[in-house]
Amino acid sequence: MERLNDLTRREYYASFPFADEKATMEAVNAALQAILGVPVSPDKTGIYLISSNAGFYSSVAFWEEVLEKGPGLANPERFPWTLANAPCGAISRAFGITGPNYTFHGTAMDLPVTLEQIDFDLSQELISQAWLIALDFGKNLKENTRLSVLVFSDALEVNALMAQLYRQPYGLEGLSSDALKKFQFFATD
Amino acid sequence: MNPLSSRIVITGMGVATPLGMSVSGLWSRLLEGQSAARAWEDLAAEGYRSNYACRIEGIEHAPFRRGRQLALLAAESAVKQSGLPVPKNTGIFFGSTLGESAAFEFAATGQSIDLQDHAVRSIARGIAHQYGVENAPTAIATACAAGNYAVGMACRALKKGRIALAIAGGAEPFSRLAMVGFSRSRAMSNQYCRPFDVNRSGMLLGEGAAIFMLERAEDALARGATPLAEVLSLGLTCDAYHPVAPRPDGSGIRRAIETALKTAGVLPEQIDWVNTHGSGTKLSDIAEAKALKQVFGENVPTCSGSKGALGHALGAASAIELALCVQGIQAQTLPPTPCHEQADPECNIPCLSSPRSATIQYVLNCAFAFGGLNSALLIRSWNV
Repeated sequence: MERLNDLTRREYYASFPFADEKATMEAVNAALQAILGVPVSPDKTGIYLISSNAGFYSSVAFWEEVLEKGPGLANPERFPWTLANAPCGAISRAFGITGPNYTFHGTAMDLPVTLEQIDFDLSQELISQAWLIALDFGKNLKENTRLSVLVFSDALEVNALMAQLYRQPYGLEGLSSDALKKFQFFATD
Repeated sequence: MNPLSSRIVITGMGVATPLGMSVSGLWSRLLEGQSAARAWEDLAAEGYRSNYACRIEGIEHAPFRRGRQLALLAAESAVKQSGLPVPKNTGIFFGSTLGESAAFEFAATGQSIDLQDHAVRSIARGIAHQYGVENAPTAIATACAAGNYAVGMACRALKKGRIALAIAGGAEPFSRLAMVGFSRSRAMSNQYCRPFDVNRSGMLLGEGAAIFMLERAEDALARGATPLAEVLSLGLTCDAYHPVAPRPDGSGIRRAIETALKTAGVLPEQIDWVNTHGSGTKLSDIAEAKALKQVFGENVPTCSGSKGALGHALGAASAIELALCVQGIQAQTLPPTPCHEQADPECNIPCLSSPRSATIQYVLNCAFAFGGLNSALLIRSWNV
């Protein structure tokens, strides 16, 4: 347990009063900067973002504008933010991180497979550090955004957390440890 | 046995595309140089500046489930070709951009709809439901590179030994939202998509799906199956440069390709064919060509691209193109690049205009995405 506490010492929660992805990411990146600082090896850092609704707000808002103004006059600035991977791309730009960049549409259900990917990438030395970020932009597009972060620099750390998190592969049977609480804002489905 | 040393093979694949609902049909039309691009009256009537696109006609689907239906059609062919029953603990790795785009457009009208039930994960769930898979599916939202990501993740899960069979791929229904977005971003051609052509003016929107059955080679061989191709490695990088534009020097793409090669222990001179991303936009094609020249020097392998024939199917694109890579290996034939007529000297890569028989062992499938995502999936023929 001591090992687990050590590896999750950078756990963090934050709430931001935005639902708009673009506006929210400014606050998210500021929080990440305060928590994590600058990555030591940007080209060997991977970002693994899990979100249940990245892109939702901008997609609806963009199409509302299309309906209002017509397809020839909608402002294109919002369009890139309709893509679910836009927030993860924004983090990469803010920190100059040029390693693997993953976005999963999901919930706590996706923690095992995400950790498995991080484990693989660390053990194969494709990366030297992984940022596992859970980022939800608020239920029903209106409630506050929530953010949590875990940083891994060693596959052994990932394995330790995986052992804590679950016993059955791809299941929720073992998801009862303290570590899961960091992701509890994700609705299980 | 070290599970990481396992070799992963494709034993089934299926597609749903504007040029055919089978790999063989798509392949024959591609070799003929056909393009599905045409003007659409409904888009013109709705006031779209460009009404050219590549769409699939005659698909029946439940409301807001077009993406799921395309994925299921492709999965049906893949499962059938593999000859495998689908066990409950199969891993599902599925990529798309936003999922059922029409649901988000519907929500914008102010009417109630559960968007969670129509996002990327919903299509993956549809596949799981269809085959009684109990594992939680993995939904990868990495836009136009999502198919490569999905297949790469499936391989890693199989190598770890956690699953014995994976269904992986991508799907994207035709998206009016994307049609407007790309058009308003001035990334859209008003007629044909011409990858690496001096007269190219942008991309065309497409739609479709491609699904693969993946398993460990020893399992496939033990049941008497003949692998279609082996998946070797996936290289991933991020440009960290611009929300929509690629890094102009192509260095992010170069690193993705180099990572794929290094991970697999394959030398650049071993590559027989590069299936390019080839979106037909000015900046992306130049960046990709620069990257290829950085990796391969003066000996860039034969290149081709299919977006002139199929449009850009976004989250399905790299999966559909992987099916073409596998089919090219099977047929030992390099496909043409439809609508590529006059090479852009600024790109200057050997882009094939007509099909050619060749010995094809190692193939790179390149795919990039908004947000600066770069992916390079390396496959090879099974008999190597």
